[in-house]
Amino acid sequence: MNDLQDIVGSIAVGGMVLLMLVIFNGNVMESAGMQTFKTTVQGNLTTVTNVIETDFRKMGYRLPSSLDSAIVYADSNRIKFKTDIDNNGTVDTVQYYIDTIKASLTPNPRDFVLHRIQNNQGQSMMIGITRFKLQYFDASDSLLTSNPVTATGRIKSIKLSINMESTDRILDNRRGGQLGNPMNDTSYVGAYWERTIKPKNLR
Amino acid sequence: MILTIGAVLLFGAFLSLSNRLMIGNNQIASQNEYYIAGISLAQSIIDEGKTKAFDQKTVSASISSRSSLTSPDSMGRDGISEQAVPTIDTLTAASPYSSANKGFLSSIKFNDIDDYNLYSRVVNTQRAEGYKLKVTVGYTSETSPDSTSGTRTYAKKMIVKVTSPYFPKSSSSGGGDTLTLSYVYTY
Repeated sequence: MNDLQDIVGSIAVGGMVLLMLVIFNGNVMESAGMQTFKTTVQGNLTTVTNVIETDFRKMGYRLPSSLDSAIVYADSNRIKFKTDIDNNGTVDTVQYYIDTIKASLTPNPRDFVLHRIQNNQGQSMMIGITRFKLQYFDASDSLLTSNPVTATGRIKSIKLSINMESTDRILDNRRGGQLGNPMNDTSYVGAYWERTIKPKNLR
Repeated sequence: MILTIGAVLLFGAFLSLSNRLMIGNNQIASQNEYYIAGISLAQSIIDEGKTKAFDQKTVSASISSRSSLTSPDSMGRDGISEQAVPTIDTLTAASPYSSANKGFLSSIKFNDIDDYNLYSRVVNTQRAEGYKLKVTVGYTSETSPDSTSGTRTYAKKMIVKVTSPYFPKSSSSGGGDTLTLSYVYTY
């Protein structure tokens, strides 16, 4: 009888320990996955905003004064402007815009592709941008409401808001994937950035 | 039996410690997001300052001597227009802004950099609310911008301090951590 009690007891204790191990392993996996995604999203966000800030700050740099405005075209998700981006005496054209054409290549259904085109040479960034909103303000800080902006020469500052999410889910939502995902967290990691940029050469 | 209980307790303690470590790491990764947003908000104020005159005396004219600049003791809002900005500035729909286009009054009421001295702003973003930004402006040495100067110089330093309920607690003060950005404007 005592032997039977010992066996049943050890099976119960062993089962508890095994269950704790499985849950612990799931937590480790989920935590590691989430941290990787967060780091990636935050890294992507700071990199892309660095690139945009550098370009936007140079807007209008070394332009001949005969040009009415450095900004050629401006709407809520596209901007095209002139600047001597590489400081070589030649005026370059830089364009930023988003579209959804290639976004289906990522598992996230909400993301867009951000394009940066410099003198007809394009770069597509599929890094999980879910919102890329541009707003334009004049010298008195009034929002220019027409979309696209008709008098681009009035633009003195630009507010840019970017929402970014991971291109993949934290953990997949298939039944088999839930073993390592005890919280069943199948959401996307996100980050937000906004900035009002006042390029010196638009003042 | 005692050995088994001891082993389970030991294992439980190990799991508890590991879980705490993981939660800590996750918290740090989440807080980074709020730091990034905080930096962008502080940089927006610094950018706003870049569009202003260096000094009240240089708004519509140029100066050739430091002695013409605002006294170091008089840094801050120096006109009726600037006084209209509330002590804690928030997004407002007041004229010339509208409910569709809210803005900060500092952006249109301030005309020189030192108007931002002792200025405060509260910002809510889409993912976190309650960012508090506090600004101080003072003269600094042109050759050693890390220092502060009690006399008039051609360099003014803006220090923006950002706090958020989502920043981690500071180990030294026990309060929320503070993010500090500074920028030197020159004439």
